[in-house]
Amino acid sequence: MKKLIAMTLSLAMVLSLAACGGGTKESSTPAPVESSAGTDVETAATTFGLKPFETRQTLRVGYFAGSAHASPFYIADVKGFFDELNVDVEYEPFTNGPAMMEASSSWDVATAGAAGDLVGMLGYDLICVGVADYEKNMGLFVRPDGGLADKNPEDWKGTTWLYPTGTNAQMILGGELNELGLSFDDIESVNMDIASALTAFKGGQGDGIAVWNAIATSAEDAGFVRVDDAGSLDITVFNGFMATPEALSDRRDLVKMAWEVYYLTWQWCNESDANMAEATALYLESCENEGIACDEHTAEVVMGYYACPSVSEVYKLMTETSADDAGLYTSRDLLQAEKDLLVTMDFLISVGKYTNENRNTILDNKMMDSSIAEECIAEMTDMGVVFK
Amino acid sequence: MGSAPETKKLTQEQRIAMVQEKKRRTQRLYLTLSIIGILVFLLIWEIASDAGFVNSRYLAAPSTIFKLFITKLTDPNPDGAVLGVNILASLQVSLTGFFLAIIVGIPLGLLMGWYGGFESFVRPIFELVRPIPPVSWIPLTIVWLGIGLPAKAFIVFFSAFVPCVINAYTGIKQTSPVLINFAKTCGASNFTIFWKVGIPSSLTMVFAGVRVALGNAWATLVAAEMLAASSGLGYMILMGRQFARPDLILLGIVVIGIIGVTFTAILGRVENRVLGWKK
Repeated sequence: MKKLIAMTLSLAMVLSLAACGGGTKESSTPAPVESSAGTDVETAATTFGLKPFETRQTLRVGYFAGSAHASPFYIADVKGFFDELNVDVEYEPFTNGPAMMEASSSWDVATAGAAGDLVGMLGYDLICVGVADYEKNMGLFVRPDGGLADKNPEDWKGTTWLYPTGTNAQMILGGELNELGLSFDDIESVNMDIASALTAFKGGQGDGIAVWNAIATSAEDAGFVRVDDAGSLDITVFNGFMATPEALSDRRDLVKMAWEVYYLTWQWCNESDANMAEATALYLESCENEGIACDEHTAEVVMGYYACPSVSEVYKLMTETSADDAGLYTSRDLLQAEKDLLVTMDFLISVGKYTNENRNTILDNKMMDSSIAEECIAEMTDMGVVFK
Repeated sequence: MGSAPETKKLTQEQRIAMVQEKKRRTQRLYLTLSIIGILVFLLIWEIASDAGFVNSRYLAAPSTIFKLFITKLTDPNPDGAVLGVNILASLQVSLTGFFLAIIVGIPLGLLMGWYGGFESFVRPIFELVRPIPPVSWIPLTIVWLGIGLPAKAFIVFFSAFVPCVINAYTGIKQTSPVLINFAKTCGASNFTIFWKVGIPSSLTMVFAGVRVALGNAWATLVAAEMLAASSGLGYMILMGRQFARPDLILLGIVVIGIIGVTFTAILGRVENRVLGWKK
């Protein structure tokens, strides 16, 4: 009889703990792995060798739906890498950077393209603490029978291009026009979000589109010709790992944990083909969860393009300094990551979207902060975490 | 006993002039109060901004918006078009959609309200379409109409069309049965009664619908220009968002507001002229 009572009580306790551990996620997030809450945190073995929090934490992630650079958060969540560290993940999904930055009060960390990062820094005091991606899959697409694929400058004059203005897509188009000896005055630009641009382009509107990620791959699959992309034009397209000032001051350990797990998860993805295949399947799953059009082929291509730096690489990017290439800022040497971000900034200044004053604001206020990278590397070294 | 003071007898014209002068004075007083209200509001806003009660990066001060207004008259940055071009582009979109809504919506509502058979035929479709938010038409609009003026005007049309239909329908439904019966007694045909009794008596409601439609048309402008644009006030607001420029967003909002008020005033004058016989 005592055994029966003991078993019943144990079962009730297990069920109540499980219920407590899995109730904080948004509907679009994956089903959590079984909670490890209540385990001996000091002795628990974790995948990356990181030390779990003593009490359960909630990490709020600004999730850029459909972007490969957001996928490490999702992969880590589904694989239980966060859970074993006593961290729950709450997602706030977005499909464009500026909206994500406006809603920064609802997240602690996020990844976004340079245009969004700049809005976050200038408008909402957000801090860039890492590099999330150097996006190569940001391309220009034309119709196979439109005559523009030959890149004859005369044919390009007067053409209509659909793309989101003020983003890296505009920078890529600017790079192409520059190569052809043209400028934005020679073409007509129509501001559209990338999904709508592809829909309109399929419907016969415009002569070309500038789009990225899954939409770029979909454009290619639809039979449109990739004229050039960030890779072929050799243009640096920076994507940042952002954190809110509140999170950095009040939940700094959680931000550091997010940073470590993010890069270590990408390291895990690259450890074997099987891991990468699983990561690709999870990227596809995240797209489906967020209503982003994607299929297996697209997911493979997008993840193939994903150029997240390794832990060591991001540390270098966030700590190595040299003089401003443009020679405009002389107060101090700039971080390599800062210089990469400034590629987009300087382009946007050249087309009148920002000013040099904005540029100086970012640099004077050190809105690219290397301290998180430094602290994380020190911590991981102390803990004996293996990183590349 | 002294005699009562002699009261001045006013002529009819003097009485009318006196009443009109009193009315004018009241109107001037109300106008002054309105202007003072706006100025006080702007002053509080400016002081709150200058004193740092509100972060200027989230809410630009009126003086900043005014300075930007002056700058945007000649400077196309950061959105790529000067203010005049943005206003003209938006006027083109909103007025095209608005007038289309009037041309289609009012006759439709009047016919639905007068002819039972037509109402039975059209109303189920209208009731199905009516609650659909105009913005939800954007993806299909791109496929059907592309990304040019027709597409954007269609989004505006949808927001302005519904009040035109409903008010015209309600207005003509409320036609006095006495007037209808009188016309019938005089031998008027159904169409003549519709034309000469139904439509005139519905005009008050029709104008109320047009006012609502005008407001909706301007309110949907940003959504319409979200579809695709290279200029326009809605586009300017979107670019303000893109570059974290609250001053640009507020300038767009203020200009849309001022144009909306101007059009409402013009509409009020047209209404007074058309419906003068009813007042």
